[in-house]
Amino acid sequence: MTDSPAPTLSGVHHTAFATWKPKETVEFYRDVLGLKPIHAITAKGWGRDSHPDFVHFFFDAGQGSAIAFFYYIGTEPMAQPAGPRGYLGMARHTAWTVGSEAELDAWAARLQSQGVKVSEAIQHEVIRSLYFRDPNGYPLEISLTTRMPDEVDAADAALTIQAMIETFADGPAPETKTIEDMWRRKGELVAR
Amino acid sequence: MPALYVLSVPEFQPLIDYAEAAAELTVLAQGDYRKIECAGTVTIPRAATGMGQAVWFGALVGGFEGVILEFNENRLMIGPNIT
Repeated sequence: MTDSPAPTLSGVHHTAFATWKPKETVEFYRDVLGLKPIHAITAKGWGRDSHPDFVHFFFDAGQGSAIAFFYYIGTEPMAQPAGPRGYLGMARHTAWTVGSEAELDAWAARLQSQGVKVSEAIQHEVIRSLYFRDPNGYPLEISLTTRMPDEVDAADAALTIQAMIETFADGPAPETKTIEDMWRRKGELVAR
Repeated sequence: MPALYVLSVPEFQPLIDYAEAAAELTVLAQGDYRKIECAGTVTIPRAATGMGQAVWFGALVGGFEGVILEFNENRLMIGPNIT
């Protein structure tokens, strides 16, 4: 045991993805989105025979964060690096934030003018989001926070997570359970 | 008695507003939630709430009591437990 406070995080430094379309990827992030390339690493593997030589390049995504790519030279391209179309391929995605409604609108206009297929702005509970994909098929999102979650939301999230774990992991016959079972359990927790 | 629990936050307020205006529905305070209940079937038409689909389909996040009879882009219906 230690008396040290729990360590905290200060935000995203970078996330990284594999690409087999280095030119299209640069043209998309640098020219279409207008993100500045801020760093690039080129390396002979990482000193291991099994690791391919690569270019690892970073684009500025604001507030000290970056989105980065690995181009693995001479490797067999993955057919669908982002995963299958549909919900599984959408699950792992990058969502950037903007500071105003006007900025979200400006992004929608920019993406449309650059020929990017972009969704309408979708209003969720606490964010409004645009959705589109990069040339690799990676799903991207630009979000405006429309309401900052507070302690009421955190307490509600804790109950939802409890209901999820009790329904789909710790309770009886979890493989038979449905979302209706989870919502019913949530109701029991709320009623306490 | 069938019931829907709604977290009292702005995005779900349209559900509470609808229920308060509907003669057959009763709205009770339950901590940070409102409990919308009905002696018969809790029925909420989406069009009357003005809610967009992305939030509407999350309308049950607060939990419920009873049986979901219908939940689609048009309507939410929660009936009594079958005993």
